[in-house]
Amino acid sequence: MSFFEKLHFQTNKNLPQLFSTELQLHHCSDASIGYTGKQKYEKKATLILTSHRLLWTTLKKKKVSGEYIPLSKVNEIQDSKSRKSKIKKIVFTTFIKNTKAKKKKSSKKTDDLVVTLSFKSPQNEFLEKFHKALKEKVWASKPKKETMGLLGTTARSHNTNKPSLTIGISGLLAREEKKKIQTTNTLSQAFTDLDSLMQSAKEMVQISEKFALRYKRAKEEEEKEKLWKEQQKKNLGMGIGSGIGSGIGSGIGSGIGSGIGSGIGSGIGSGIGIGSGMGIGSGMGIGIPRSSGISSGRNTRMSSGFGSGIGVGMPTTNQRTQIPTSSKNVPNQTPSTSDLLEFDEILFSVGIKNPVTKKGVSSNQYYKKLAKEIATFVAKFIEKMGGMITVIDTYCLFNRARGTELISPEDLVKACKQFQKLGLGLKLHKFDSGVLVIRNDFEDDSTIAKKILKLIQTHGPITPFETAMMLKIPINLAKEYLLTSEREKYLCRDDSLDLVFYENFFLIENYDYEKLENFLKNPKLSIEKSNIQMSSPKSNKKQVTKKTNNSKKKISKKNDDWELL
Amino acid sequence: MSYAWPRYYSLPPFFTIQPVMQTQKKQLQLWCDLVLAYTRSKNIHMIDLTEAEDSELFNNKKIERKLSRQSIVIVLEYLIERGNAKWVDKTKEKIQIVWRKPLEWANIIYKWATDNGFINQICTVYELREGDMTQNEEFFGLDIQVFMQALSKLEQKGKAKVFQSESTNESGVKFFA
Repeated sequence: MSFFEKLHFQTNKNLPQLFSTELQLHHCSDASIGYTGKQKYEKKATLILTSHRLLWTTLKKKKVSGEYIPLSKVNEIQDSKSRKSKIKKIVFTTFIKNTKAKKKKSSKKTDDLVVTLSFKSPQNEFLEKFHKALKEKVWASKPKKETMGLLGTTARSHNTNKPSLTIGISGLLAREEKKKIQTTNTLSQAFTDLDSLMQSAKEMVQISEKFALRYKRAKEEEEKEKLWKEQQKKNLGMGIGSGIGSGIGSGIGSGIGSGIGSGIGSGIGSGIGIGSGMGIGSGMGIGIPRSSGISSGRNTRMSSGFGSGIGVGMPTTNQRTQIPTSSKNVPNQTPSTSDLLEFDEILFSVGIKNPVTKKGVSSNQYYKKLAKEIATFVAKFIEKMGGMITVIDTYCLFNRARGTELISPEDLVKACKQFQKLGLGLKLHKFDSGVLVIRNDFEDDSTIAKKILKLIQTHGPITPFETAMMLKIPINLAKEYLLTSEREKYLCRDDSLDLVFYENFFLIENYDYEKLENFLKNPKLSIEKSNIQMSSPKSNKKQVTKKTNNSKKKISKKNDDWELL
Repeated sequence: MSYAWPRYYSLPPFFTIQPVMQTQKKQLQLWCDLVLAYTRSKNIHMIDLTEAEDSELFNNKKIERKLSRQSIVIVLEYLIERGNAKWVDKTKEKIQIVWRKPLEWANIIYKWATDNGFINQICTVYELREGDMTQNEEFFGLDIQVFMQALSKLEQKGKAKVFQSESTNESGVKFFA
C-alpha cells in the first residue's frame, strides 16, 4: 500500500481526478493487481490505464478508493513467455524501490518492485495500449511538442494500426477517415451515457421535490399574500416555465496515440427560470470528455454541450419562460411570496413523477389512472381559466408537464370520458360545434349563459373576440359561451358583417331600447368605462392595485371584467 | 314622409334571421306586422322581390343592415302562412300583400253601402273604387283583384251580386240587404 501513491477522486463522484492533459486510454473492471515479495500483495480492482498513469480503484461499502503508479515509474513490461493470443497476465518492472522485497532473479535491480496485473478475461488491448503509452511518454513531452504539426498528435483509434506519420494527400485522406471512424465511435459511446443522464434527471426531480416541501411550509405561513398573488396570477396568465436542461458534452482532446478512453466529468446545477424575473438558478450539465481521435491539434480539452429543455407555459401569456442553460450554482434565496406560488405552479406542473404508462397496466386500469392524473392536474388551474378548459389546451399542458411518456389525443379523450364515472368532479362536454372541453361538474350551460348575459348587459353588444379578451379565455371557447347563451335565449345575434351578440330584445317584454341605443351610439366607451363590480363566489378577494410592472397595469383593468363572473 | 318605424327596426339583429327557434318565431312575427303595417300605410299591394331588397322596408340604410334575399323570402313565406300574402304566380317573383283579408274588405264595402244607402242599388265597380263618393274610404284605390275578391265574398254571402255590363267592360255590383 505504501509503495503506491494515493489516487484522488473528483468531488462527489466516484471518478478519479485526472490531470489536465491526462487522457483515459483503457479500463478493465475485473482485474487484480499485486506484487510478490516479502509481503505478498494482491488486490482486486478496476484498472484504468491513462496516458500518464496506471490507476486502480476499489469500491468498499459504496466508498471508492484507489491508488496509482505513474507510468514514468514503469520500467519495462516483461514479455510473456508464450505469445498466446489471450493475455491474462501482465508483469512489469518498476523503478519503485521495494524495500520489503527479497532479492528476485527476474528484476534487474534487486529491490525494484515487480507488479503483476491479472485479468479474468483476455486483455490484449490493454497490453498493447500499455506498450504504446510507455512508448509515447505523454507525461514527459512538453506542450510545444504536442502541438507540433502532424507528428504524434493523432490519437489512434484502437481499431487502426496505421503509423501516425502521414504526409501529402494520402495523409489527409487517411486522417479524414480516422476522424470519421472516431466520430462514429464517440457518438455510439455518447448515447450509452444517456443512462447516467437519466439518473441525473431523477436526481433533479428529487431536488425539486425538496424545494416543494420547503416552499409549502413557507407558503402556509403566508396565506394572506397568497390570496392576492392568485389574483395577480390570473392576470399574468401564468408565464411560468421550468426547464431541466441536460447537456451532453463531448470533449475533444488532443491525441495521445493510444486508444479511446472515457472519463466522466460532471458539474451540477439545475436551471429553473421563473417568468416574473426572479431566477432561482441552478443548472445541470454533464460533460463527458473523451480522448478521441478528432485531431484538433490542441492541448486542452474542449467541452461542447447542447441542452434539451422541458418548458411548461400556460397559453395566454406574454411572459416567456427562461430556457435553462447550464448556469452557475446560485445559492437558494429565500423566495418572496410573490414567487412562492409561481414556483409552486412550476413544481406542480413539472412534478408529475411516475407518470402513468401503459406498461404493466391493463387498459381499463390505465385509463382510470390516467383520468385521475389528468383530473388532479387540471383542477389546479381550471378555476383560473373560468371553470372550463378546452381539451386541446389540456393536451398541450399535460404533455408538457409530463415531459416524457406523452399521451396521445385519443388516450386523453378516452380518459376524460371516465371523469364522471369516477366521480372526479369534472366532466367532458362537447359543444354543438364539436369543441370538446373539460369543465366542472357543477357548471352547466345555464350558469355560463347567465354569466354572459350579465357581461352583455354591462358592456353592450359584444363580439366573440371581445369576450375572449375580457374573460381571458381562448376565442373558440368564448364563441362557445356566446352560443350557449344564445341557445338559452338570453342573446340574439347580428350576423350581417361580423358576428355580434345582443341581449335578446325579441323575447323581452317592455325591453329598454334606450339603453341599447346608447350602447350603439357609443360603442367603445361602454367597454372601457364600465367598472361595475358584481359579487361572485370567487370575488371575496380585494382588488389590490399594487403593480410591479407595466403589463400588470393593463391587465388589472381587464381583471375587473372577469370579476363580474 | 318617413314612416314611423318601430324601435326594433333600428337594431341590427332584426335583420339577421335568428337561428334559435323561439327567437326566430318572435322575430318573424314582428317582421310580418311591420310588413303589413308598412304596406297598408303606403297602400302597397304588390311586392316585387327584385325591388324588395332595396326598399326601405327591408333595407335600413341608417344602420347599414338589410335582409338578404333569402331572409326576405323567409319572411314572406311566413306571411303566406298567416294568410296575409299570396304568390302572384308560380315564378315567385311577385307577391301580393293582403293586409286585409277579402272578407274584411267585403264587410267594409258592405258597411259603406249600407251607410250610404246603396242597398238594392247598383254601382259600378269603378265608382266604388275610384269614384268621388268613396274617396275617403279605405277601399278607395284598392287593388282591383282584391276588390273583386271582396265582392265575390259578398256574393257568396248573398249580400251582393256582381255582373258584367254588356255594353262596356265594366263590372257592376248590386247590394242586397
